[in-house]
Amino acid sequence: MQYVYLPKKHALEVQKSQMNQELALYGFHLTQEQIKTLYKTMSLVCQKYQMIETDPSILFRFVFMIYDFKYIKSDGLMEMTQRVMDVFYALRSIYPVTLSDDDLLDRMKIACKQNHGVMDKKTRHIVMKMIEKEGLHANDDEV
Amino acid sequence: MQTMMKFEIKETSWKRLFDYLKSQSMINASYEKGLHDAFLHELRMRVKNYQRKRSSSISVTQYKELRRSMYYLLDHGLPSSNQTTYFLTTPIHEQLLMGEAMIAKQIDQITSLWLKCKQRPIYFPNERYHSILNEQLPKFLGSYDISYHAHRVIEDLDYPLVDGLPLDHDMYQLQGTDLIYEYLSRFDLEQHYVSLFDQDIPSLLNRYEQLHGVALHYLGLNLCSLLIPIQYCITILPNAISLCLSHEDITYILEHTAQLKKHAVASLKQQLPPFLFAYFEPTFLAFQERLETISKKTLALLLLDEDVRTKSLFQIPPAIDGLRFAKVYNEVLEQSTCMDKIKLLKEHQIGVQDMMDLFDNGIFYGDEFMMYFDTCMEIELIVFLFLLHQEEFAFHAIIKQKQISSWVAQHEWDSYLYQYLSSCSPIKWEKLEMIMSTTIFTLCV
Repeated sequence: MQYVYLPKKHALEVQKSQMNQELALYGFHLTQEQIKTLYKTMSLVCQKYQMIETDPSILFRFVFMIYDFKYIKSDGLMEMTQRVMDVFYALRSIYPVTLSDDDLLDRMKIACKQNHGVMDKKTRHIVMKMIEKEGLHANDDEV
Repeated sequence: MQTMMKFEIKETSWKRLFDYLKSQSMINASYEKGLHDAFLHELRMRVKNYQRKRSSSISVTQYKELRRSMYYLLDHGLPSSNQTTYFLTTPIHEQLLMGEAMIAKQIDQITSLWLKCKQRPIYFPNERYHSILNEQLPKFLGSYDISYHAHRVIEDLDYPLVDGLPLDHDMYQLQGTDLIYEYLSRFDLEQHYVSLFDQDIPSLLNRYEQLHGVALHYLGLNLCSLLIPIQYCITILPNAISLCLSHEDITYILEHTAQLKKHAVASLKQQLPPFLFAYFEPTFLAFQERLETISKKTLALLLLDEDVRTKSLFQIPPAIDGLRFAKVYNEVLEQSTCMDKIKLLKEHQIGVQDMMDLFDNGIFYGDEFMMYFDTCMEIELIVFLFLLHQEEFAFHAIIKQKQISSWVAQHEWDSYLYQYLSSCSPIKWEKLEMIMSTTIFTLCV
């Protein structure tokens, strides 16, 4: 017996190849193995911050956030993406959804540039300050 | 339980049915994979919508809540018959919609039950009881979230039922609308039962308060638990005419328990409507069993027969109206000496409640309070204490002089009252104790 539900598995594959086409313009490429490693890291980071990610394609948004940074060398893309994940989920776990994923990534990009291309705790604090200046406080719409 | 049967609470869970079908090899690996993917897809969609399409990630706690809510909907979507066919042929999305439709029906049932209870008011000044009807249920109905938190009840449901309090909502092993429906059905039956004694309730509660020195509602007790022993006993007595029994009646019951109890339950069955009897039968039987080992004094207390006439009743007069209060206040302020103020207050025969308001408005300073208390009668001093510490007077407890010095004053004048009482002579304190042990204080409404 076959269950009638058909998951759209191919959508992820399409996004993967599109991402690599874009990355190639800047001299980057992520292998299948590297993408697997990034997913593994994403899962560990989510565990660390008690979060669950329901959209695997967010990985491509993490990569797209940093691929045009002048600070990144071709061998640093993996490490930088992993750091982006850490900062992103650390912030996501404390801020309500009034701040969307896209807005958060935009602020992270600005903060990273202010921090001379370094994605670390300091970047996180810069983002937090930016957000608090806008009047949004951590966990203020917790259910 | 007529009303409780209207809506059947599901006993089969979706997960249990899935495990059963799998164990019977009615679900193969590819079906299971498809079902799993479909479930996850639905869950992801719910996460996305829950996060207002602004984020695809969610905290583990909230994710688990959404998953529990989905299982709750799936459980409610299951039909009472042909569950296997339904499970295997209905897509999960439709099953969820079916669950939502069933819960919506249950919400309608809860609403009509709630309205029925609200339209049958009984005299019972219990805050929790009224909170259930006027705050908690309307809040539940107004904020129930069928899409994301179908299984959740945040209301306390803190008015205890005859079989106890649904502590942490664990008592009935139910959640969401099932829990509310079960609780409300029981609440409705108990309210129906209490309404049978509608006329006698105010005097009964009054008598309970006089006898125990504390109101039933203050103790947070269930009203049925007070009525059940009384109804049982008046049923088995040959000539009982009121809810209040005499000492002879109690002696008779205790001496003839073995014979009387033979027909007690049958007789109660005739008196009560069948659905009420079905609900209360275990409680009546439990009391019947207890009756064999109960002492005369305990039974007398249960039946509110302890003679309260040996104690005098002091009704604390109500506060005077605002205009008169303002007039007295202004007149007092015009007086130049403390003795003049006291004389004026005595002339106006100001009650203790108003005196407390005048104290708060600063009519006396420092030692003037001590002078005032010195002119008070013993009963007035006790009423001050009673109004400040009603809980200490519960069960007719007698306050000790040593106790007072350890009390923390809430106002400036309390500290002077405590100081005055803790330093008064042993003879005066003896008089005060005598009043406490022989007087029942009640607030005049």
